[in-house]
Amino acid sequence: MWWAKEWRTLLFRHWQRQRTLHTKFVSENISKENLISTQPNVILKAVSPLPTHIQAWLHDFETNTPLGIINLDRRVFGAPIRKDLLQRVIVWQRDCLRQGTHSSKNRSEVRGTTRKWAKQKGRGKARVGSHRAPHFRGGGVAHGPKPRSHSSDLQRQVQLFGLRSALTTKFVQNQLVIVENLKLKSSKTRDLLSILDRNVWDPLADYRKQGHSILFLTMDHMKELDLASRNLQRVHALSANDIVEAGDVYNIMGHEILLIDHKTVRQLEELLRPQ
Amino acid sequence: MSRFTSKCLIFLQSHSNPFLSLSKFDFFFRPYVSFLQVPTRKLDLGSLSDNRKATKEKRRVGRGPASGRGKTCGRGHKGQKARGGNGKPRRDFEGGQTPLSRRFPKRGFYNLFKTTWAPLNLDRLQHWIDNGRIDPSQPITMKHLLDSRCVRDVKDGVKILADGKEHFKTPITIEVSRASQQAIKTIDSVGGKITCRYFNKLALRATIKPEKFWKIPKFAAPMKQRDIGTYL
Repeated sequence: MWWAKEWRTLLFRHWQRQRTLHTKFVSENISKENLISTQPNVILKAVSPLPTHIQAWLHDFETNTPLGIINLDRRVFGAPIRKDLLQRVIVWQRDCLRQGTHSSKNRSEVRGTTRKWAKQKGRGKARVGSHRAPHFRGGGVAHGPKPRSHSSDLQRQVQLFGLRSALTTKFVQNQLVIVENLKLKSSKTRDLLSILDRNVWDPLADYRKQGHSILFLTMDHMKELDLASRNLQRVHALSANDIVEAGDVYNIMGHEILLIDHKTVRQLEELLRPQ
Repeated sequence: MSRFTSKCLIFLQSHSNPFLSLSKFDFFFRPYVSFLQVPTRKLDLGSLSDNRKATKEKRRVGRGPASGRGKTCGRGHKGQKARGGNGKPRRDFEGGQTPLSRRFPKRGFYNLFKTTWAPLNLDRLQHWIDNGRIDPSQPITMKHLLDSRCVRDVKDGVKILADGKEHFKTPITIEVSRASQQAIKTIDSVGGKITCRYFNKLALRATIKPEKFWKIPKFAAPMKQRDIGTYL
């Protein structure tokens, strides 16, 4: 295709131009003191052509009126969405959550005697020892489950990548709501529910049996928010530190809407920004 | 033809309306295309999956003829290899003959509490400061010593020794594991400050490689009597 070829060449030229545009020459003054230092005086810096920030609306919690636009760090809220890493982090988390108290009795633990059940010879039947062997009715279980830990390991970097991916998915799917602050006047569930009903962040709330599915993220533990949301089945309040330390992708993906306040956004950016 | 058009459409995707940017060379002025794409299927807990072939299925053996590994479980017929419990013999095994490690009597012992210090003499430290490889105005830790290769390897910690103490002139603030009496006296007489601190393995790693730690741990105090004697 002639035009396809032309497109390719044009695209290549475009990339070349981009490269030259986004490389900067930074010269550093050499003072007399730093003469011995091994640093070169000219540093070639490659600058990423992607924007450093993406924009999001800032809302008021009670009335949902937009207050303005804030910048979010692209590396945290605009990270690549890795479905496989999200899955891996969630599997790891759920592994660690398993209680692991399953137990069954083997042939030595089953109640009963270990007497030889029938004599060795002359019976015309199979040889029999203990009657609690696994092949007998009422016998023990061979290789049955025993209490153990199911927890597995996951690299810290994968956990953090999963968190970034989870936040980005919420942002891209319009499930991330950023509000000025999450302060409540009272700790009454009725008042919180009226706010949630009025603002309709979760469009599926009416169709769902358990009502709104919302995760609140705050910098510190908010007592009033916690008390108010405690009796709502799918509304939970957590702190950002807990989420990052536990690599808690499961809770973020498990709620329909993620509601964060302005301060916590900045804290999350600081905690999750890749080095 | 259709193959190429579909490729072009991928380039033209952006978070603004994709149908507005369909003119032929419009994308040249949009350097940020194909960034922040909305997933085709809504992502939630129900629609996550790992990559294909990311995990391997366990081979189930002895589950009937239809499985292909039924009767003999892929071990063939009869013999040593067909029986259970026969793996590779252990490393020291010499076919039943008394192995070398048991033929001769035991000798020596392994000291669990052995500590080896990385020695650092004062003239070498002065040389590094003179060449600008260590900054004397800042407090010096074992990380600086290792990074500038003043010591090649911090074994169980750095011990400062007093070889060439007559050349040592710079007042420094330094924190290491141990130092000799002469070295402490020299550094103090020049006007510097030296602290000998107890580092357990974790603390040593945290000082040398802080970037490997999510949070810098609290440094342990010496617990054993012989450590307390040397550091307090």
